Amino acid sequence: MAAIEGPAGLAGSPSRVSPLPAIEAHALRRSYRDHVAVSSVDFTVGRGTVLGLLGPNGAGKTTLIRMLSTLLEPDSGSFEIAGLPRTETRRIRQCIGVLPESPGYPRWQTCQEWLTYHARLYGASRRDARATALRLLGEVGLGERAESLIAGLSRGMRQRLGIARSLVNEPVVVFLDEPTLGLDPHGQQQVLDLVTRIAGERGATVVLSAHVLAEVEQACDHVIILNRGHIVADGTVAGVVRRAAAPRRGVVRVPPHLRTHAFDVLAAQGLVADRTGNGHRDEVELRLPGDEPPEESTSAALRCLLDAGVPVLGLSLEGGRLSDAFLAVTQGDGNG
Amino acid sequence: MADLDAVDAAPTTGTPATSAGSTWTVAEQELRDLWLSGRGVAMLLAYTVLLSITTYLIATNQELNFLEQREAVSLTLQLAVAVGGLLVVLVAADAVSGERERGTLESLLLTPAPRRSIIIGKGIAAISLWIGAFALAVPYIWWIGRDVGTFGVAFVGGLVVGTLLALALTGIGLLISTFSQSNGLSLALSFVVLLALYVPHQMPAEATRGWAGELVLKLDPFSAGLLYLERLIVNSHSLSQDLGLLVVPALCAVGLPAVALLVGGRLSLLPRSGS
Amino acid sequence: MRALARIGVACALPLALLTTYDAAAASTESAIVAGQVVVELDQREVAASPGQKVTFESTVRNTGDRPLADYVAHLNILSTDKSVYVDPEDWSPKRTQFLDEIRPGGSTTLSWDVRAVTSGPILLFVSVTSPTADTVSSSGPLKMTVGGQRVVNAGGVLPLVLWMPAGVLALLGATSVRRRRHR
Repeated sequence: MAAIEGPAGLAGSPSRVSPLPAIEAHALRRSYRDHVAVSSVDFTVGRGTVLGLLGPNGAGKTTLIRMLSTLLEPDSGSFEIAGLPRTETRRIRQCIGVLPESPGYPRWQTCQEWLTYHARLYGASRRDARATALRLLGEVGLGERAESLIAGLSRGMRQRLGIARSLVNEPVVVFLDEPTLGLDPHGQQQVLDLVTRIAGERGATVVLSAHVLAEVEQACDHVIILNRGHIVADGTVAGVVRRAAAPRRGVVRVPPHLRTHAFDVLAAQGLVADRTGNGHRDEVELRLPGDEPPEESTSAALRCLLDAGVPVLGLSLEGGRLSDAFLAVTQGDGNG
Repeated sequence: MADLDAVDAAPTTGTPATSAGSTWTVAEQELRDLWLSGRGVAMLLAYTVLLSITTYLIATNQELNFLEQREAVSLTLQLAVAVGGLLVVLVAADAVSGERERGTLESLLLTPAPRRSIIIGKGIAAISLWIGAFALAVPYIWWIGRDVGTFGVAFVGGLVVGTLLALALTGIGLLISTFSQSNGLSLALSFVVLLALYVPHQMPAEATRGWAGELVLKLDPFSAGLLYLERLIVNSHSLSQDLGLLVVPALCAVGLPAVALLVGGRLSLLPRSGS
Repeated sequence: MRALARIGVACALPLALLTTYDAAAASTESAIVAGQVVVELDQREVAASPGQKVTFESTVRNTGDRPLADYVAHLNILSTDKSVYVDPEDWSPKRTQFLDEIRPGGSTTLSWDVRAVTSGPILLFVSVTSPTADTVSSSGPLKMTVGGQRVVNAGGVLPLVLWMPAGVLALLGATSVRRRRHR
């Protein structure tokens, strides 16, 4: 079972620190007719963690989130949210917040009305709910649009509104399913900043499902990669990348007249990625094994060239990113 | 800061919502959505225009002026009950399947509000359309029947029969809405059911003779209710004289919403699977 | 020739007599049938107001010496005032009744329900005919005077039919203004 530890301590956290993990899932399984969406998934998420949930389309991310948020009944298995077993659906809903993948919004309500409504559904009085709504709207940058109809908001604004809604009940666990879907880069950054603040300032555990792997690298402490309903990788970003042994590539620039000699030198060490040399006249592409630290393989390549009298004019490295690990663990199944 | 201890897993915003509290919260929001958005008012505008046209023709058109005054009151009341029922069933049919299609149901199901509270709240909003329709019909009924002293019985009879039928239709609409794969299907099916309930009342007298015809008339809550109103107003029966005709409408008014509530406890994101 | 004529007359006479006898027998038969059935109503006049239900009875007597089987009675409703429209279906949905066999000298009573629909002079009578519909016997008239019809007083209808939709339209406008204010 994947066990993902949270941060050792949180500044400003109360003196009583619960030992209970935020999420604990045991052999969760869910299928739709003859298609198994999630198959025997086990993992634990510590308190205060920002967990990235990755996977190709159809991997089971949304199904998993819906099960953990009690929207869907698992076929088998169990889970606990903040120590609450899955049978305590009302209490679980009371302490989680969710931004669904494709949320709809009532067009003819104002932002403040809608948030107040949801806050009241969590038990807040009318006055407290209104105050919570206005405060959250300010936090997500929609303070000035509190009295605007939701129909008049842009997509990015609606996503922020949805995030605000997921926070009305001060949740201990927040599930954000594709929060940056359809947003421009500026909007994506705003949302990621919000995610970081949710975890940092509120101490909530965040489960972030995303397709844009750069976002996960930026915002998440840990990742779980799902493929065809199974967990195929889990751990910290660096750990997942390392364990996935994703090959990296680099490009070294040499004087054009020494390119062929550079090829031969690197090829003798098994470091050339493409012998046909389809790159630029002064470039040689390196293949760096993923199970070695990149700095070691790069140093070895550079040493070879310098020993052979080939001056190095420049070096750039690619790969070794989460996206490479993602492709490495998910390809071969016909997905990704 | 939220505490992760299992015993204190409640959020810091207020105490967990009770069922009754959730019901009134949902009902209040649904009523606001229906009326403050203008949707309910727009539906009643069309209905009011229809009532005005009918009343004007009754009052002024020579060909139509053969109607005896009590018959005119009865006709207007039946129109109010029929159209009011139509509006109720359409709103109820949209209650769940419409939210499912618009994508707003998921957010609602993620709250701790009990499923039944959501269903009841939406049912209350649907019923409010009947109340609005009846309230608008009252001035017309008063004006048409003002010289024959039928207003009192027409008011009471219309309110009782209309409310019983509205409750039954709300139950039907909510049931269909909970299980329909799409909102279009839900609306169409509800409309067909309403027509099927209304048709026996419109059958010629010959067709209702015999055991089958009489059985249909008695078992159909719509026909039974409208027949009660006819006898009450046109034939000057007392309120208690034909109470037997209200048995089936009363049973449907209680039974159908109860079934909708029972089924509503399994309200889910997907129309056919439980949550 | 005269002998032939005498023979012809002698032959024709019995034939004529026979035919006359058949025709007479037929008309007598009809006369017997027509005279055999007597229809009487229990009321001659009744007053009603629109919407009121009136019930009356008709007695069909067999005054002949043969039983009457499979006879049918029908209620007729009309107005003697051509300005009054009468659709019998509105007045009484059940206007045809089939009689049980009536023995010679016996009678049967039928009950009829009529609801007064519109005001004016209304005439009702019951007709009885045999299965072969050779003759029809009718009762005397039941004169129903339906009066006191109140038609809707058209005075003051315009303010009602205009102000009500106008009021609802104003409400609709108010919701629209509210929506615009929040945009």
